[in-house]
Amino acid sequence: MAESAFPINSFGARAAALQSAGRRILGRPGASALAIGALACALAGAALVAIAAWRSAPFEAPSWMQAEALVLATGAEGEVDLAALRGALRAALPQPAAAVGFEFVGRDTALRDLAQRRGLAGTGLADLRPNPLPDGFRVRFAPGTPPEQIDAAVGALRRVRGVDAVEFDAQLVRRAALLVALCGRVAMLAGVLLAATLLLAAFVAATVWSRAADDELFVLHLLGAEPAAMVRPAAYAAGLGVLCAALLAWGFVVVLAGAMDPLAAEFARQYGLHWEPLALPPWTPVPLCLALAGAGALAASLGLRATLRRRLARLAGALRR
Amino acid sequence: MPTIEPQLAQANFHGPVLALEQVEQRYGAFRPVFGALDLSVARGEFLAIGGPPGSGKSVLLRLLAGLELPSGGAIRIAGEDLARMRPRARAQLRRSIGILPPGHRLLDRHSVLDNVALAAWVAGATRDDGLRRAQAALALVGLDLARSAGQPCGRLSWCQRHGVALARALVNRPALLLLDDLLDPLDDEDAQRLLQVLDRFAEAGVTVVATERAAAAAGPPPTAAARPARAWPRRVRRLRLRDGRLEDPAPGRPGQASGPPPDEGAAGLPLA
Repeated sequence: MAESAFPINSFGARAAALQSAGRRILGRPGASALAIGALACALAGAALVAIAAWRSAPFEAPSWMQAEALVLATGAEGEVDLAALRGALRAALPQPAAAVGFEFVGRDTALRDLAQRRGLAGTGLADLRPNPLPDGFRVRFAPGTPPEQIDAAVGALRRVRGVDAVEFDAQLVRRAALLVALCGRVAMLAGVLLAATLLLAAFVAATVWSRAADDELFVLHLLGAEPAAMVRPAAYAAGLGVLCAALLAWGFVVVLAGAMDPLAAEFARQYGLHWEPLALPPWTPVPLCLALAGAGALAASLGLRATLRRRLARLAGALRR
Repeated sequence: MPTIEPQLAQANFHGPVLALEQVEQRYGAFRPVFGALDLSVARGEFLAIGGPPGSGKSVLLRLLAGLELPSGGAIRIAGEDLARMRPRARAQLRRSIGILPPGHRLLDRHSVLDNVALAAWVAGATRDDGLRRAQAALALVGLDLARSAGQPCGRLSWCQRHGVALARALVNRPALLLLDDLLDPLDDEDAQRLLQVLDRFAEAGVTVVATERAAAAAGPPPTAAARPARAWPRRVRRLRLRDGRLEDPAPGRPGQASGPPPDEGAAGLPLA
């Protein structure tokens, strides 16, 4: 016998509705896997877009986008009082609040940093022995600090006694800021479009489902079924489906974010920026996926109820004729 | 084997089970179906409403079932005004009503047994109890369980579908039966047997309102005498809906359309 849109022999009770929702998903494994996979891809795309938009916000000065200058001390190892130099550097800044970090950089790290920043990695510079560079400091500027202020600060740092050189390219930082602002806006636009598409797809799915179940809907209405009981199995199925898709999507996001993080770090390094990978607590997916499942069930329930009202009114009209 | 034989319910409401007070129904300004209908039906009464096609019999039954609300007036079931009830309460009320709708409204892809049991499941019966009650209801209307219970309803004849829809109306042991075109597809023998079953329900306190189609042309109203083979039980009160009004085809007999019911106050409607 052909399958009905309604699991008619488990009507009313929540547990029975949940069971029938599970049966509905497992009863058509191919179609369910396809739908869940497609939804997981859409959710993963939405999550990546949301993460990109979040990390780019505010577009003018994302919190992670801190311009970074490498200050190299004069003299060989042990000849410079690094604590005194740190104090001198702080004191030299025209606006001390603009600098949010003074991080000590050992000479080996400084050499590796320099080689990578100038695109000289692989040329043998990083392996140069003995390392000619002195120790130094990495000075980070607050996000959104105007480039002129950074230029002025870098100039002041260069003039500090005990400083050999300051490595900083203001043009690169400006270009990176523009690029990040552009990417953030594109991500936000894409996110809005994706969300609208998902909502539209949910609405179309509810409409198609209710059209396929016209007869069942009317018979259930006739027999005194409450709208809540009529939509419950479908809403639970939607919730379960979204939960599976959300868990799968989380897996996609972890894998993709893991693959993209080194690229983002490299981008930041190349442009003289400080990059911090996104660190979320390990339990993050649990409430997120449950919230998504709840939202899916709620959306399905509301959509189906709205569609149900329209369909029943139309069916009653058809009955009159 | 459970029975769905009518059970005399406890009286918890004293008054007419059904009461129409100046009920009007119109679809748009120019499509009045009927106007100012008054009717009172007591518990255990068997009412048959005749009339030509298009006279509004089915509309009246839909109004009584709460599937539509009247344009004017009030319809009271067990004293409750349908228009003032919340949709959820109307849905709950429909579980106490057995409805035989026009066109039967069966789920063609589902089996006969599932179609009948669905009404019980909607009313909260367990799966097994619903199936047992469905079997009893199908047996009551005379359907061959061994042959037809597992068949999809889409493969049944019109007459068999009529039986299935009637069994579905009876499966919850309703307090009120609303039966549209009750005897139309049935041959005389089946009609007679069915009327006897329904008469037993009415005797046990179930209120039955049935419609029957009559010829559209002007002529003598459909009476028991006009159709001797389909003699309605003697206790059936017969009314005719014509030109938007309820008429008594046999004036002088007890049970006028607008008069008090013969056994008003004698019993109540078990809607719980």
